[in-house]
Amino acid sequence: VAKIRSLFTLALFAVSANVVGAQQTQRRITGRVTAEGTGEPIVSAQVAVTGTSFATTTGDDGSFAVTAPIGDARLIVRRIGYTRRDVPVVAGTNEVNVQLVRDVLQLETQVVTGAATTVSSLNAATSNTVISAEQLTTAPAQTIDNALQGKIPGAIITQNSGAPGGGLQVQIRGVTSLNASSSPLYVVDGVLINNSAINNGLNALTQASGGNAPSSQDQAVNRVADINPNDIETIEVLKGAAAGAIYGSKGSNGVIVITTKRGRAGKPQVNVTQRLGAFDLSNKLGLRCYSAAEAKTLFKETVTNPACNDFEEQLYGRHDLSYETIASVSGGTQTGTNYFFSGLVHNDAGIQQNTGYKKQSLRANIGQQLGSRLSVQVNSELLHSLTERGIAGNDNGGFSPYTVFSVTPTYFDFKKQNGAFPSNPYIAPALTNPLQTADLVRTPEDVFRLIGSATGRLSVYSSERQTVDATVTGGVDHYNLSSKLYSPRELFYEPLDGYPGTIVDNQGNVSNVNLNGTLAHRYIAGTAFTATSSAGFRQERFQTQTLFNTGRNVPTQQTNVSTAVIQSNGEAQTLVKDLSYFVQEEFLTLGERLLLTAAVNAERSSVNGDQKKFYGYPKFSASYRLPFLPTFTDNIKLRAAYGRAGNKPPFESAYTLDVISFNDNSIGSRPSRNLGNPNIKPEQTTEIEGGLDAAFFGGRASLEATQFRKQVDNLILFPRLAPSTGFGFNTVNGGRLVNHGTELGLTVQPFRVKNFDWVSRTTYASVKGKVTHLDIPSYLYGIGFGASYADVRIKEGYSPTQVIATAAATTDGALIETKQGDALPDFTMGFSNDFTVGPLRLASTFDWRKGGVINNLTNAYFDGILPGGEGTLADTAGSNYRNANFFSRAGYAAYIEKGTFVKLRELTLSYSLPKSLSSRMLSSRANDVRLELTGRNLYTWTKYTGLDPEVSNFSNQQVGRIVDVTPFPPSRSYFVSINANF
Amino acid sequence: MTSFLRNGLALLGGALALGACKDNPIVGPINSTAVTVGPLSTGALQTAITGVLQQSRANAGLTYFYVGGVLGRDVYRFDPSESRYIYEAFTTSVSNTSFFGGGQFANEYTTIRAGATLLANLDKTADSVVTTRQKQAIRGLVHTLQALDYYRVEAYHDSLGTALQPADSSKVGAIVCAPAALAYISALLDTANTELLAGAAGSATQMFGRGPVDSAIVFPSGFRTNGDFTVIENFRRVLNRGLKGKVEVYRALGSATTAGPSSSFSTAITALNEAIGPTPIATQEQLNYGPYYQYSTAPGELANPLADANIFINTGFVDSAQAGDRRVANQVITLRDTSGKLAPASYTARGFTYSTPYKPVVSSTGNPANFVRPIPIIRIGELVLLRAQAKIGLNQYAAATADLNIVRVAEGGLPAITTPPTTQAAAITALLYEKRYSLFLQGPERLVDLRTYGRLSSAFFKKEVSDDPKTGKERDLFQKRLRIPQAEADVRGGSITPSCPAS
Repeated sequence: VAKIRSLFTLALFAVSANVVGAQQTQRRITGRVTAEGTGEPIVSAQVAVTGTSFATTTGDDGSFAVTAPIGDARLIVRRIGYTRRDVPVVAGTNEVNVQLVRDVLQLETQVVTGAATTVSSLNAATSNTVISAEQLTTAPAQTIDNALQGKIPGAIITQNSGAPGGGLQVQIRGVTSLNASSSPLYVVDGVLINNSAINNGLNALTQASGGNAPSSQDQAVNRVADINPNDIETIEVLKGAAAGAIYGSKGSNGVIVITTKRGRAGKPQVNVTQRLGAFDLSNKLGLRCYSAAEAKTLFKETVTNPACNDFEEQLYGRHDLSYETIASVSGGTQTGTNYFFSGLVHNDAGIQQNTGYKKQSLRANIGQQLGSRLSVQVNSELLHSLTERGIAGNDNGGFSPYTVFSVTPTYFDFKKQNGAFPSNPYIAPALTNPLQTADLVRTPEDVFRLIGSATGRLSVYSSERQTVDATVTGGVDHYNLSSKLYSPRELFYEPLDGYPGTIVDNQGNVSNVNLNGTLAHRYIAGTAFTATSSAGFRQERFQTQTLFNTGRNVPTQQTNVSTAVIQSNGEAQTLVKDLSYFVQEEFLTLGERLLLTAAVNAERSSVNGDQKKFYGYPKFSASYRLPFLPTFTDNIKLRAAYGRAGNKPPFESAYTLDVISFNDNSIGSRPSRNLGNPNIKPEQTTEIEGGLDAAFFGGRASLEATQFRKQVDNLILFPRLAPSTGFGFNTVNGGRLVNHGTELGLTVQPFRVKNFDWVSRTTYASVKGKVTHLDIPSYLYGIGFGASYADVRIKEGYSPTQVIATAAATTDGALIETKQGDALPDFTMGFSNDFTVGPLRLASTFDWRKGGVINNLTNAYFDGILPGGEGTLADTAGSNYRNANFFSRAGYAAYIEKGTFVKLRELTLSYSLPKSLSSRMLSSRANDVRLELTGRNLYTWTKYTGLDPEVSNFSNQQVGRIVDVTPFPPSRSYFVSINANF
Repeated sequence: MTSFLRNGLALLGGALALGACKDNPIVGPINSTAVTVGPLSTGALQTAITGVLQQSRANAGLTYFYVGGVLGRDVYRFDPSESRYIYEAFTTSVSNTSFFGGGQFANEYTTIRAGATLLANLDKTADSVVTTRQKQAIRGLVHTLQALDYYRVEAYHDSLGTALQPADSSKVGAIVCAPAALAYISALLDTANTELLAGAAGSATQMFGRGPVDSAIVFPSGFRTNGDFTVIENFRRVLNRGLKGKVEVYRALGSATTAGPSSSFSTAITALNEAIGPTPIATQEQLNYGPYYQYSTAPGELANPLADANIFINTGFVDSAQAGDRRVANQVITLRDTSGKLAPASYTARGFTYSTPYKPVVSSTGNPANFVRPIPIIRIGELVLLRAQAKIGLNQYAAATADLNIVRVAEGGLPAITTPPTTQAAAITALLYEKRYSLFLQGPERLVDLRTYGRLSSAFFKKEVSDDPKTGKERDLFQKRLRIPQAEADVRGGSITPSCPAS
């Protein structure tokens, strides 16, 4: 460490001392940048003089003035959203006007290559998907992961249940770890975002996992949900280890780099959006109706003209008004200030009583140029969310709504009679009435969160050929979560455990703090090459603390956990400290055709067995744009990248901990069943990717193709130990996993005529994984409730997501294990189409997932529970088939189904009001006023018999996502919006 | 750029890099302490002993007390959200990957490991902290508790095997057949007996003698509920010798097809006589004498696991009782509607309906006392019945009947049997009757007995689920044992065949 530290200090001195000033004769080129067609000025376009470090940006009216050498020069003019122009300016000409063409296919963006360095996507050597604000906010989304569904090739984004307020998993390039973190790293304006999920303690009530402590069956929300999608300028998805190497042991699951909006020089821009809409139950299981004869035989009851109540509609049929107000002001001054302020009020009413999602956010992004060398940018967002998700999912007490529906004949009426809910005799002894549960149970989950970053950039040195920039960024992401569960004693099921009334009070305190410093030196050797060297450090601290209190036997109307007769509490904490140093060299040459990059990142982390050891994460990449192109081809780039990233061991896995318990007022202690490993080290993901990017027909079509091979060594595994050793799990680095995949993206603009424009994007991705080596015996991963339902066998030569199930083969009870399919889909495709006809725009996103199996245990609740093996679902044929299959051979494997689906994720119809009308309606300053009709998740095409093929009873999981147990049902949303700019 | 600015910046950069390193990079465990390897203080020793006792109590919690009752056709658990309590027991087979079929294994070995860790550290502890005599007492205590959990594994897994845990936690031990497992447990109890005797040497009566440890070591009050088992001699006599007698009875009985060494019956009687003591037993109070698990609803504590509204009693349990047996009246709640008519609870799983109007008194969650009711680990009542069982094995039917009558009269309130049975089968029937009603919901005793005597079959019980009318395939298989968890087999190459070394 000391050596690296002194080297770094030395490097800083060397760079700052050795740069030499250069004085030459120079001239000024001035001009104006406008949009082709409309002639509107383009603000904040970058104008750079090729072969030099001279550059500037255009002002409010599109004008610029840039220093250039005497003699012929070339200007590169670029702006996100437009295709760049290369403009020759001969000696003696000092004024030039440039027109830029809109880059509808987004062929050019800046992509991240290092801590403080970016490169044009034209030269990028890795496949990075960039999502623009426009793509992100086509239709209103509760969370950013909702908004990204179907848009990133290679990312499978799946919601865990239909409960409002998030809870989604983003899996990039397949399963990248079996037991270490499964979440990609989210970085917002340089702040490492905490995407932890704090389980809300629903388990204390449902006993899904037994005991009092919160469990993974609590349907937790992973907290990236808090980020306001409307503030985002771009989202860049770094999929591979080559791109993620700069993030070391946080990079192997992919990195999602989010940049929020900033003000641009010019008069204040005000943007206001108002949306009104509603949510609607989008799928039902369909419950059985009964004839009087069936009531007699199946329930032994005499019912004349049995009613057929639609329980699902009664409980989940609400369409309360939802709304969203978004407002922002942005701009910049001549004195070097830029600002962006935004506010959000979001209120989604849930389809069930006492559920919903509310979010309010305030953002201030302010930048200031201090003199010619120093600039500071401070970005901050304060937000609050209130999520109420109700009770759903697995439970062991008989009160999850679908559990209750499974045993209650539909002729029973849950609705209030004479002002009181009837108790339900069909689920004795719980007697649960789900309408009463929805009426009385409250599950508020409040989050207050502050995300802030401050960045200082110092131009240490700048000359025609060289620049030295120092960047320091400090970031904080802090949130407080307060989740409560009130289940009052008046509920029918409450006396069941002997303690009527339950309160859970769960408090989480989470903070990420990071500090990064980078020194970047750029040397521009005329047109021969540009060399960018950078070095720096990153220091991070991640801390969480959760306290949970459970109270049972609670006096009526009390909401204070200390009023409960029986109380229990618990605490869980984590503290992780990371430090890394990196150096990187980028070399752009051959007329900006060849880009070579090499970098190494050395990182240590306190979760490793050897906490002081630095692990190395190198990367090398090359991209080359072909100089000779076939006809109709604008650009062909070949690229290849090699890189290594990591994934940290879980917290405290180096230690075998004492388990403390109490026995009659004495403290007891015994070794935990989880055996620690003092030698644990990070997983090491080595990825090679190669690809081809091409553009055709003058920017009318583009193709992106990528092949990758991702190898995860030192795979962190929790193999099940022989229980007879007295231990349950160990943490080892014990294997190798290899993922092969293909990602394709095709964007075309078949028509671009006056008043009609059509842009179509199609993406395809497939990935196959295999465990190629195991140092330990094959074992069952343990994805759910035991292998008789479904499990994954971790075995050499097998897919890490290969689902098996056991069933009795013979009457002597021997069990055989049979393969049931793979949890991961065969492939995913996304289709986005955007039609513009004059002022009308129609945009849609379809998300197709082919294959992947799901363990539909929800059906198992309904099948075979009536005499004669009949079930309580309307689909009696399906139910009977599964029940017969259950006995004939398959056991619970009869409940494993294919999860193929196509979803219409987004549909938007928008109309831009004519200026004359918008002036009259709003103000003469109003421009680009649009009326929109939008819908999300409007329709699902699937043969899956459950509520939604997007499901995960155990929340976010590396491989065990496939379990469907009586979840909260899915919903679709409709909104009407008006959006105006002033 | 001035050199001042340049150097200042370099200094700033350097300072940041230094500052980054200055933060202590080491983070120790914060959610609990790391397991101690080394000598123990008296406080740590107390904590470790309580840990072993608590783990033993926790294991016996989850399903231990009634899974045996489910398989032995005494009880059901009707859980609307979990059909495996019913389905695995009655319709196909127990699964080695489920909590039900693969249960009663892992947690018992956790107790055994906790005990081994404690003893390894005790060996490293200086005699000035814990005297050699105290160490012997602690070893005897721990070895007895380990033997108890080994026996519980054996009772539920029988011929499928019992794993012997080696000292090295990275290694797996042999899985041995039932006779070898029982021999091992019996020997472990003898070792513990010797240690306890040494621990009680001299004037020491308390488990940890007199001296500095005395005030530090506290036993759960369950050890004083029905007799004081913090007294070494009481602990040794009732728990160690009592368990020894129990193990020897089943060693001698062997399996339904192969009897064990009949000499074990005599060994059992010797151990049981020592455990029961010379005083004639006649009262319920005497029969209840023994160490108990204590339960509590205080934060972090464990409540009585049988206080569970989903547990019901198989109608056979009530129907087979002799008229006037107060053990039925004391233990059974009959469910009736407001008009007084029987109101059975029923449960349908996979098309088969189970129905009963009875539930255990101790399971009622409406009675707060049930949450803190102590459960016996072993008690004189059970030991007297075991002695009767040993005597039946030796064909001493009159002596056996005398023992049965002690329990029958004091607990059942029934008239004594005056004419002893004349055949072993009849004697066993009489024995099984008393054991069924006196040891109800106290563990897998009935399952073990029915299995050992070959009486867990359709010849003795009505099938809960009829044979498949189409194929004639038997669906209710009378599961006789739980399975060794799949994880154990995986580590051992996929399958397990217990070894059976000659004893």
